[in-house]
Amino acid sequence: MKRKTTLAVAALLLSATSLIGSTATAHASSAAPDCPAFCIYEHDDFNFWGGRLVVFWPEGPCRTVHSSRNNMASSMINNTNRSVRLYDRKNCAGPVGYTAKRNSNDKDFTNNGFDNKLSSMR
Amino acid sequence: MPVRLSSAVLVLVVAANGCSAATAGSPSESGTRTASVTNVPPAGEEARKLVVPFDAYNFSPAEIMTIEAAQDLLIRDCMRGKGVKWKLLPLPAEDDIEPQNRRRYGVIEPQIARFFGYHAPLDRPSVARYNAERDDRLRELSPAARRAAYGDPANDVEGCSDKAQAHLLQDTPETDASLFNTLIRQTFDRSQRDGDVVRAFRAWSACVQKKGFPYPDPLAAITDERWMKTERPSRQEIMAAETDVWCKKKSDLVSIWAATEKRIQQDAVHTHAEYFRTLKTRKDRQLEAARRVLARG
Repeated sequence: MKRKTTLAVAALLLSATSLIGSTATAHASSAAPDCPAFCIYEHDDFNFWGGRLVVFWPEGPCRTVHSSRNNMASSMINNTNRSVRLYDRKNCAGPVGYTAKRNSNDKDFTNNGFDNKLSSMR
Repeated sequence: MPVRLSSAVLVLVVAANGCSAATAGSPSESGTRTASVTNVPPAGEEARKLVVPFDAYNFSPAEIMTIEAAQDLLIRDCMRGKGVKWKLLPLPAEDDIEPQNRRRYGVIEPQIARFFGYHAPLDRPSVARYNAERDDRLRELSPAARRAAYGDPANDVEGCSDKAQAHLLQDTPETDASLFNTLIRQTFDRSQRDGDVVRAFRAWSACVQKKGFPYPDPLAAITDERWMKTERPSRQEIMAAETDVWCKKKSDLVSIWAATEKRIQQDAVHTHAEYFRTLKTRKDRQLEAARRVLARG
């Protein structure tokens, strides 16, 4: 059930991605899987039960992670050409918790003190 | 077709309260009218002036843009050596770049509350244009140019982007980002339990409650799930955000909270003095290297 929900969320966001337009992949590490834009994963090493949560949003507005995924992210790939600011509160409130550099990846948020903290990003 | 939020021409029609952008009167005292926004307003002074001690060790959005602009120049030079073009982009106006602490205490700018409620403000036009052009540049790269720029990770081949990053990081000490990010969170949490801040929260809460918004603190207001369900702010959301900002002014909450955070963060800097010295060196050297590259052109 959990897996089904996850993949549904991923599918929904993937379809949003195709509507909005996604950047092409710009790999940052040989260990990282393909990601069309900005991807977050529930587990270390880009593992999301075999799926992934793909997020891409137009510039400006903040993106709050779905409540079922709140405080769950442990790794990310940023294949966009811009830095992404991650927050541990919804609606991009409070201090920036961690900035994901453009064209970078992080296979374990623990190394950045941000494991299971992500609630929103912009 | 990609949707671009070209802020300059975006027309956001919202039901707003208040008579002018500069007015900070009680929302309930002002008449209701519909406002058309054809431009994203500049960041308010309230957000620009909000600084905390950790800012000296962290990269602001403007500083990140400086680093990335220098990287672009280095990538261009590197790509030229491979016979591939790399398009340089005109940088946005510095005043258009979002202030680092804009939403730290929730919404604090009256004009932003009026136009966007609790929704995150759109980018200013020059920033939106810059971001769109960056996206276009990446999208339009040929496979060969992409390889030159970003390498071939599957075969551990570095690209010009990796080399540009390495160039700016040379001579900078290694740091443990985990401690800094943890301290950012811990000190912020601690500030919310401080006596002065708790009293300011109570005053603010009593103020917003009188207007029909029963929130215990400003972060509860901005993270209310209701505001995240719509693409545009509702009339009620704008009313709540304007009330929030007005009550913050009335209770002096922002300056009390900022003063408390300043004290707590300075204590942390003192406690981890050597660590913060290293962080500062790392930041300053990266920025100095970036500025040297930009000056060279």
